[in-house]
Amino acid sequence: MNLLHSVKYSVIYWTLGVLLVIMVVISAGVGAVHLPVSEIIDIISHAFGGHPDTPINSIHEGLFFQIRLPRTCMCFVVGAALSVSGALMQSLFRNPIVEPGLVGTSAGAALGASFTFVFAKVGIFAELAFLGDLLLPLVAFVGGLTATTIVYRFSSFYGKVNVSTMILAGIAVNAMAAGGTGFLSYIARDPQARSITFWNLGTFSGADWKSVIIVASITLICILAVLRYAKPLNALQLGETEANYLGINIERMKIQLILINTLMVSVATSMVGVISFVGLTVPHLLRILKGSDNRYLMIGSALMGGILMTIADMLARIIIAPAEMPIGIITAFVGAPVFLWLLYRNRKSGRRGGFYA
Amino acid sequence: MLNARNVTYSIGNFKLVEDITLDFKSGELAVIMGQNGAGKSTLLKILAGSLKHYAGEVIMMDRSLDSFSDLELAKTRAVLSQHYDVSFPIPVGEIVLMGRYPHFKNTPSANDNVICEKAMEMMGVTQLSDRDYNTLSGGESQKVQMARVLAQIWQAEENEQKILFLDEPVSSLDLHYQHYILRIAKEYAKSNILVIAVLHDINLAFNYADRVIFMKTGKIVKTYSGDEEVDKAVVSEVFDVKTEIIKNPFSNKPIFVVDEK
Repeated sequence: MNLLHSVKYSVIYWTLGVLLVIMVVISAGVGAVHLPVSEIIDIISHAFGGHPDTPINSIHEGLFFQIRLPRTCMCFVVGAALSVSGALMQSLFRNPIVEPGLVGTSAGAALGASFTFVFAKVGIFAELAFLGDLLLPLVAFVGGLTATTIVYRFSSFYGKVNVSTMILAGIAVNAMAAGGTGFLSYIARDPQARSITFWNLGTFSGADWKSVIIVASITLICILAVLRYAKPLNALQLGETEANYLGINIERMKIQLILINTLMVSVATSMVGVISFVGLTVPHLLRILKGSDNRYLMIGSALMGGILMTIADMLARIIIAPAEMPIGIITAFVGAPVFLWLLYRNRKSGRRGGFYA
Repeated sequence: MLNARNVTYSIGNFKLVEDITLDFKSGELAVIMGQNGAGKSTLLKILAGSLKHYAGEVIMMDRSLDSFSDLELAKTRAVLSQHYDVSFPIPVGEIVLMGRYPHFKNTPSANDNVICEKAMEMMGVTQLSDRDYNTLSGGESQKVQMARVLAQIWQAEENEQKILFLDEPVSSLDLHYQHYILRIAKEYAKSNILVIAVLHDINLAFNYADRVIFMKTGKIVKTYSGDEEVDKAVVSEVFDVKTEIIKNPFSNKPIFVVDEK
């Protein structure tokens, strides 16, 4: 039923892991100044104290360590966060088309982040200045959580989530959040407004080590937490009542997972903006490769999401070089057709037995 | 082993189940029958611990049902439901393994795997192990789900007390497997397991059940145990049909025939 039916999970993980390292090195070399792979290897080995005699271009070294590498790491981490979130939400709501953008999480986080941009030095935000670099992700989390809670509240009756209502509520909340963000960019002074607009389509250009460390640590903690739910999420695929018969407290699990998911997506979104379609598509590609076991989906999504985001960012830097394109445009142009292809594939073979049969 | 005391469950002012008092003992196969909407599935869900906020009391193994955690319940009883809707491709083997989920933390033990194999063998679905569950026919998937619930309450030691709930277990099975599943249920009951089933086929019910409980509009109308003589007037009243009773030449059990006029 799947392409790699007989291949072991560990083989897939290793392949994706090696691909990821290769993509990170290639991606770090691409840009206005080209850094060939050999030079990158020299720079890295130099940094670790090897070959002290090899001459190293110190400008290139700074470029690699201060600009290229944090950016590539940010791509990997954000790609991982969004894809794991997509896999998680699809399993949690037992629906193949759910993703963080759909239930308002990303848009709410974006609104929270724009708020911080515009009002960073006014009123209550001035009081919160002691939070420093954590203020932005924190307010984004509050925004993301508010939006997600509204959508979730509107779509659940007697503890059961109605997915079509959830999608409709998601449309409404997304529109409201987008309106709010639009309003903020309208009243904002020029540099802020420009950054809100650009950042609404996603960009990795501002990545530095500080933000990478914030996003990476939150994402890592969240993914480790999510992995503990892999087994109950598998059981949930039988239905909520059935999973409960298997000993799982569904309501508690839902609330915990929505909190974890919102935290992970909001923090990533607060740093790089709204990036669509990655979270939706990556889990589907993994299911086509080898089934829907949630442990595999989570680990696989982290790796494959990282790879695809790194490639997408590379394209964003190459296509209109020396200028740079917002990455959201790339992911939409690549991700949406892939998703349409998935729908087509489903229509062709989906006469009976659901989305994948 | 399982006792219901004056159990009532209502939504708004409507009582789905009203003042039910029943005692079940281990080793028994009890069948609940009645018209659509008579409250059979609701009663089953209350007894299985998935519907809460009922009035009255349910005692499972001398403890209030409310005092059981979800996991404790999962290790004690299994439930076969009417419908399963799986949205993603999952191999049959994994579905059956889910029955063992309450018994292991991260990876299944060798024993868990052996139990799954035995349960699949018992239900004749071993050869489906690698198939995607969504590609199965209705009958095949019902057998797979049955294997899963059998694996869930597989006895670790002899005479361990467990409860098996079956909600219309034979609805999409062929004649052979209808009888096969009930024979398994009956055999299970003999090994000290309590089996409570909702059935629609009255002939199957009387052929296998140790006790048949008739429900109508949320209440218990009549309970027949074992070889008690059945009054056709009761059956006619419960189902609003005219019936005659004849004898099954193989088992001497009653067979109900319906006059459709």
